[in-house]
Amino acid sequence: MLIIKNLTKRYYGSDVDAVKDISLQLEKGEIFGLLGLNGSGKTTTFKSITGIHPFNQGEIIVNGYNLLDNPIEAKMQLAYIPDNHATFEELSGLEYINFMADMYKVSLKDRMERIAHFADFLAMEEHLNKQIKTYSHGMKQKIAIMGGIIHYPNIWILDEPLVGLDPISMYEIKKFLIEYAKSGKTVIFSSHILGIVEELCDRVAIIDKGEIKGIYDMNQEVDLNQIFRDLVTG
Amino acid sequence: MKEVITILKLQIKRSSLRWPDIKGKKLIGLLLSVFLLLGVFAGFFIIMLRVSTPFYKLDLEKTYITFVIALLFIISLIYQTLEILKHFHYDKEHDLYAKLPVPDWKIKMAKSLYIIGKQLVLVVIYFGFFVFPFFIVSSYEPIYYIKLLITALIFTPIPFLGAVILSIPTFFVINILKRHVTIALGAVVATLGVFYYFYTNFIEVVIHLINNSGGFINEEQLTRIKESTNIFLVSNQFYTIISQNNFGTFLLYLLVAVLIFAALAVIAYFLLLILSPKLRQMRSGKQKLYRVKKVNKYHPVIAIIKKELKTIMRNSDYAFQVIVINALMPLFMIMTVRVTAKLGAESVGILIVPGVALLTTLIFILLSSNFQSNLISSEHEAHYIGLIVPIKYRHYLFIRIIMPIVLNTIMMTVGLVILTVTKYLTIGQFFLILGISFFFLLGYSLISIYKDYKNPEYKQGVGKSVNFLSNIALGLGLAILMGTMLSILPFFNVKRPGGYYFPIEITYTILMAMSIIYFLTTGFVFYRQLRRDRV
Repeated sequence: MLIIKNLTKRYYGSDVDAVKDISLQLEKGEIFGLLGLNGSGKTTTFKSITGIHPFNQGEIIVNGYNLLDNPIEAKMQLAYIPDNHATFEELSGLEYINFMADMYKVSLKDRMERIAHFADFLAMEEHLNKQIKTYSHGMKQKIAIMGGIIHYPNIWILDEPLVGLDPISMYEIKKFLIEYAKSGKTVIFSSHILGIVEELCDRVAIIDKGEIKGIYDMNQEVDLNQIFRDLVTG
Repeated sequence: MKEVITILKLQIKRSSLRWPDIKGKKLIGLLLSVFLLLGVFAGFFIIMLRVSTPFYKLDLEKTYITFVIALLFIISLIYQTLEILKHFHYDKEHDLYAKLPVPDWKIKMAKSLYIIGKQLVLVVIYFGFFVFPFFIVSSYEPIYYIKLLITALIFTPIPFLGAVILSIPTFFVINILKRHVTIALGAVVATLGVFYYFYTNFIEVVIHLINNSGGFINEEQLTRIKESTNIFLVSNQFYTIISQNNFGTFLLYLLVAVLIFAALAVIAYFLLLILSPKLRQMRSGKQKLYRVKKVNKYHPVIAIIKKELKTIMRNSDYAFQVIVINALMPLFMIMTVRVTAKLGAESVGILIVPGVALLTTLIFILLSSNFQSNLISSEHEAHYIGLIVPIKYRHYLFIRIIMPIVLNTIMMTVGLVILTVTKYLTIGQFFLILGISFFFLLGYSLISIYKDYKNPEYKQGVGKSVNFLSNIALGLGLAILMGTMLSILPFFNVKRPGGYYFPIEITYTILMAMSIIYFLTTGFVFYRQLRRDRV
């Protein structure tokens, strides 16, 4: 589904690699967690996978499409929700979602159904006609999610997805992530919060100083807390 | 008082220009901008020297000082009203300050002092431009000007009190206009248009005065000019104070003024203390809803265009630069060419007019396109969306840049058509100037977006970004060079024995080539970068 081979990224003017020789393979129906401290390389990895940042070395294959050779087809398979939940704030929520649906060429019927569904479970019906810049932190996060996955991507990438959400929305989104993966899609997200990662993920990779320190199967008995501390501090 | 000073210091620190991380090309860009600014200031200073000379020669010193002070009051009133709106009624940082363990009155005291402090700086700068040239051309003693400056500084509370009062209706008008963007834009276009019309007419009168200061103005005209400033009551009182020859009497007058103005400042401060919390609560007003009547599906290109239009119309900074400046461009062009061509034609001859028209067109292109320098960074953190959506990023940028170019081309063409119809230009000159200006516009837009792509400055406003300053400096340099060439070289289009001969066809060919090379070079550099980044 998503194959990352030897990904290396160094920022212009820097003398260290932000991401160093990362290789991962994510399967259909899997929820994959990327765990790491601030500045460990999680966001850089996501930005390289989604084509936001050019990378120095490596290969990214998204559902059979090479990101460098077939960027448009590869991007069609992806959705990315950043941690800052940035959107076009001058637009209303509905205008933003509709814009994203146009960009991903979602049919009129599908987008109507999906908007109604998302608005219902994220409790956003009343706010869709308001300008995004008037939204609260959590509402912006919700609208970024709605716009991001309006095309039901095969791979859904989320950077710190649950930060700033109210408990009900957090519960709904966790439930939705699980259902989404069960329908055969792949979900990859980053987090600092071990509890959420343990609760949701099938596999977890720990990243530190741009390198993958280990990948763990959460279906087996794993003390993630201890492993994380040992790897990062030791 | 210690807390007031701490907050005041914080305000000054936060608003001062920060020395950005400048190296290499950025440093060159910044230096170019500084030289450009110095050049503009020097040019303005020289103009003011010429403008103030006839006032001194015709013994219109009182008229000049009264007028300059009246203008200072008007500028101060507008400036301080905007400052009060920004720092009190629409204070975005209210929550930040409200959290501090400092009484509200101390915070407002610090902010009031900050606004008055800025006003004092404004007065000194204003004097540098409007009074200092008069000091050079006249023979009055320096003490006269020192008295003038001290009095002007002491008069500061008058516009401050006026601004506090004026800020109340302005606040309500802004609240209404915020919900009716079209009316707001129309009002700004009309206001600026009328202002510019009167401004150019005023310049024409001044030019007339300069040209006739050799004794062609009769006594009756002089009396009329002197009486014209009688309506400026405060300025006349101001003049009464500074014209006291006895220094003791002057100090006495000043002392009375200080007491009155200190009382006015206290009234203004207490008004702000009472008013600002009430107005701030009303600032959001009724939330505007953007109801989508029917969800439609659009082609990605149309969707991007629609998104851009909505963003422009709903963002006041953007709307001002894109809509207002472009809407006014033909009027600005015509009025400027009318005045400058008249001045130029009177002093050197009619052949200068196409050069003036070209220079004016290019300068207004720079003014109406300067937002392109922040086209990418103006999206701030949301710029990633253009990179993740399934459309080539270069196409996404192309669609975004093409709209303002089309609008700019239309308005520039309208301006040049009117100049041709009003016989300032021939049809041939119209097409040539249009062609040169069009390629210049393309080149300027491409270099602007290229720099923003390469070094986006997400945290800087348009006016403060180094990219913007270096683009405008280079663009203006090129515009002045091309405008000057077309102003001077046509005078060498005649074969004279022993004189230089430079055919006009070659002049236009060189200018067109310069413009096309500017476009092709910037286009190539930008395209190569996009190809290299594979976007």
